[in-house]
Order: sequence, then C-alpha cells, then structure tokens
Amino acid sequence: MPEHAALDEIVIARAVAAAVQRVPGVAGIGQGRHATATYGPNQVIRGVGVTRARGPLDIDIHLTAAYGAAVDLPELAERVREAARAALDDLSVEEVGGIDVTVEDLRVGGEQP
Amino acid sequence: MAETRQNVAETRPQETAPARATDLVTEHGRTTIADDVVAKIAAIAAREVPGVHELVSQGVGGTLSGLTQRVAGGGGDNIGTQGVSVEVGQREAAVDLRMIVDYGVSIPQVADAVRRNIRNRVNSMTGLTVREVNIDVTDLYFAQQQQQTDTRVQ
Repeated sequence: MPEHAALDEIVIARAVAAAVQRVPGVAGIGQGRHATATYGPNQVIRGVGVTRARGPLDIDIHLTAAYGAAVDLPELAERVREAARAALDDLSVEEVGGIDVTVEDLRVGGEQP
Repeated sequence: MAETRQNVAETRPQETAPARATDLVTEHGRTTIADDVVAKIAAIAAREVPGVHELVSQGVGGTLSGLTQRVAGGGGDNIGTQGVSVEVGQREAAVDLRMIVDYGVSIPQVADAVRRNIRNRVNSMTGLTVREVNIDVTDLYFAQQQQQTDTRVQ
C-alpha cells in the first residue's frame, strides 16, 4: 500500500480518470468547454480536478454522458462518484472532501470518445 | 407560418411528478447537469417524433437554416442544440423549440407528441420537471419539392 502522503495530485487524478471512464454511460471526460484538469510535470489529466484547498482532497469531475433512453443522469453521477471513491480507496486516499460531478455534454451513438 | 403555442395550463399533465431526488447536492458532493445537456435531450426527443423534419435556429429562414445546420453540425452522429433553448431552474425547466414539420402531418398532434416526449425524456434523464414546451413551427417540408431541387442541383 502506498502512503497517501506520497501521492501527487496527478497520480490521484489519473486513477480517478481511468475509473470514471470505465463507468457504463460515460462517453468521455474533459471534452467540454470547462478547463477542469489536474496539471503535473509535462502532463494534464483533463476532466478531473484534484485540489487540496485545506486538508481533505476535493475532486471535481467533468464528463460527457452517452445518450440512452434509460440513462438517469443523477444516478449516473452517483455511479461515477462511487467509482471515483473506490479508486481513491485503492490508493488509500483517506481524506476526501466532496466529489463534484458535472455532466457537461451528451453524446449520441456509442460510448467511445 | 403555422404556430402552435398552446396554453401551459392546457398542456400540463395533471399528475404530479413522482417523488424522487431532484436535489442534486448530496453529502458526498454536488451533481451538476449543464443546460446544454438538457437542451440536447430536448433536441433528441423532438427528433424522435415522426413528422418533425428539422429543428432550426432563430433568425435564419427555414430550409437554409436546416442546411447550414447539417453542414455546420459536423460531429457525425452527434447532435446539436440548434432550434432549442432551455431555461433550467432548481427543479423545473422550460423549453422553447423551433421546428420544420413534414407536409401532411397534423401539427397539433405532432406538437403534442413532441411535448410529451420531451417531458418524459428530460424527466427520466435529469429528474427535472418540464414546466412548459413552447413550439414554433417555422416551415413545412415537402419531400417532392426537395427531390426536384436535388435533381436540379445535380
């Protein structure tokens, strides 16, 4: 188990981004107009903002949902939140504040970006 | 130009929305649904109704606007929000729609079906209650006329 104190924001953001993209109903992340991202040396994880304002980590996820007749967006956001939380648990990140989810776009046809 | 702008009181279904969590602020974080997403759901829902030929944006004439929309749309099977504007509140949304309908269909029936479909889709996908759907029918589409102009172009 890695120590959470040793984890960069960018590592956390990458794990969250990977987990979120695997959630059925998510067509992509970070494709909208909003520039939510986590920046590291020579790299950017778009669509996932990890910030440590004071103490706990705040996670901000911006995603594009796949259109489907059965998609309930608040429910999808909840599944995304659970997936993000599971990814954070895997990294032993304990101090998590809020996980905000914004559905910023909708894509028709297929779940692949 | 035909216009079906019906009274909200007439078109609003009497049943109240089923009890569900429309409050998107949970203890674990906030969920935000962009207005564009609501507009897109409405646009898709409108197009699902047979008889709706095209949605057109404000200002430009019907067929021309439809053409530019197809050209400018560009995103393959992705769909834009042209011809749709939404106002989204905490729990309710209002939708304004401009569309071209196929010649020969009953416009009030198509408009009713569009309202119903938008209301159902937006509610099931976002939890928002659609308070009103205002529909402007800006033009009619004649299939035959289109074929003629097509052959003339060729």
